[in-house]
Amino acid sequence: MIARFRSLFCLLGIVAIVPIAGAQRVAVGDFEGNWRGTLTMNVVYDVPDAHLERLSKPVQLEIRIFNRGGAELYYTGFEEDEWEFQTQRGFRITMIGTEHGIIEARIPGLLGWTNSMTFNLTKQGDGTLFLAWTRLTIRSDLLFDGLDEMAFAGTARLTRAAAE
Amino acid sequence: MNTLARLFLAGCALALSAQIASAQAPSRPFLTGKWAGVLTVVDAPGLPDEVIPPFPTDPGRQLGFRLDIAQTNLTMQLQAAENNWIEIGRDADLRTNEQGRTAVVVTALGNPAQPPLETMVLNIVRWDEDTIGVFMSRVTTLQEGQEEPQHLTFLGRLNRADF
Repeated sequence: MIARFRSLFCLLGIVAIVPIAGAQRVAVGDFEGNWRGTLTMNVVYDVPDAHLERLSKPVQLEIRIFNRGGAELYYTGFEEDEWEFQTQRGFRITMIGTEHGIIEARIPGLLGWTNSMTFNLTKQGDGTLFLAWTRLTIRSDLLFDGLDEMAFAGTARLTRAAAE
Repeated sequence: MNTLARLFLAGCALALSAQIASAQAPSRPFLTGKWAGVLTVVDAPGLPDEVIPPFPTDPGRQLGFRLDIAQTNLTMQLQAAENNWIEIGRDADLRTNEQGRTAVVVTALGNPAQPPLETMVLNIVRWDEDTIGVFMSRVTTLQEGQEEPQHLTFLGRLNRADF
C-alpha cells in the first residue's frame, strides 16, 4: 500500500516538474541567430526640444536570439559608431506560430526613468526579419509637468549577422 | 534510504502544490478590467490611404477604442460609427506581463497554423489606478506579392470604463 502511494507521489512530482521545465524553453526555429539592422524612428512624441534631434536619429541595432528563447540586445549608444551592450540579459522571445516573434524589454533609465520596449518581429520571404518597435519611457515618480512620458516607434529590416 | 525517499516525495509534493498555487493566482490588479478611450494612428507607412477593415490607416486619424482584459482573454472594440463598435480578439491567445508601472500584452488574431495572422502588441504604462497609456503595434504576416508585412501603430490613453 505504502509503495503504491510512493509511486503515485513520484508520478505527481514528475507531472509538476515537467511543465515548469517546458515553460522555460521556446522553439525559436529560424529566428535563432544574430540579427542586425538600422532602426528608423517613425514616431517621436513628447520629447523635449533639446533632445529631439538626437533621439530622432536612426539607431544601429543587433538582436541575438538563442535556441531556448533567450535574447540579448545591442544598440548604438550616445557616442557615434559605438556599440553599447545592454547589460540586462533577461529578455525572452514569445513565438506566435513560426512567422512571428515578440520580445519585450524593460530597461531602467537614468534618473528614475523606465523604458518599456516591444520588438514585434515577422519573418520575410527573403530570409530577413521585419521589426516593428515601440518604446514608452515614463518616470517612476510622476511630476505631471508634461514631461513624464515619451513615446517612440520605428521599423527596421534585420539581416543575419555573423556570430561573434 | 527511507529518509532520502521521504525527502524526494516531499519535494515532489511541494513542486506540485507550488504549480497549483501559481495556476490559481489572482488576476493582475492594474490591467484587468475594462478600458475605453481614443487611439490615434501614428505610423502606417506604405499602406494605401483607405480603411483596411477594421482599422483606419491614415496617420492622424482617431478612433474610439475599448479594451476588455480578463484573466485569460482579451477583446478589443473599435468604433466604426457613433453606436457601431466592431469587436475583435475574442478567444484569441493572450499573454500579459506586468512589471511595476509597465505592462505588455501580446495577442494574435487568426490561426498560427494558417496564415495570414495578425500580431497585436500593446505596450502599456500606468498613469494612475484609472488611466493607462497605450502604444499598440499591429503586424500582419507577409502575404504573397508583398515586400514587407503591413504594420500599423496607434498611440492613445484609456480610462477605466463600464461598457
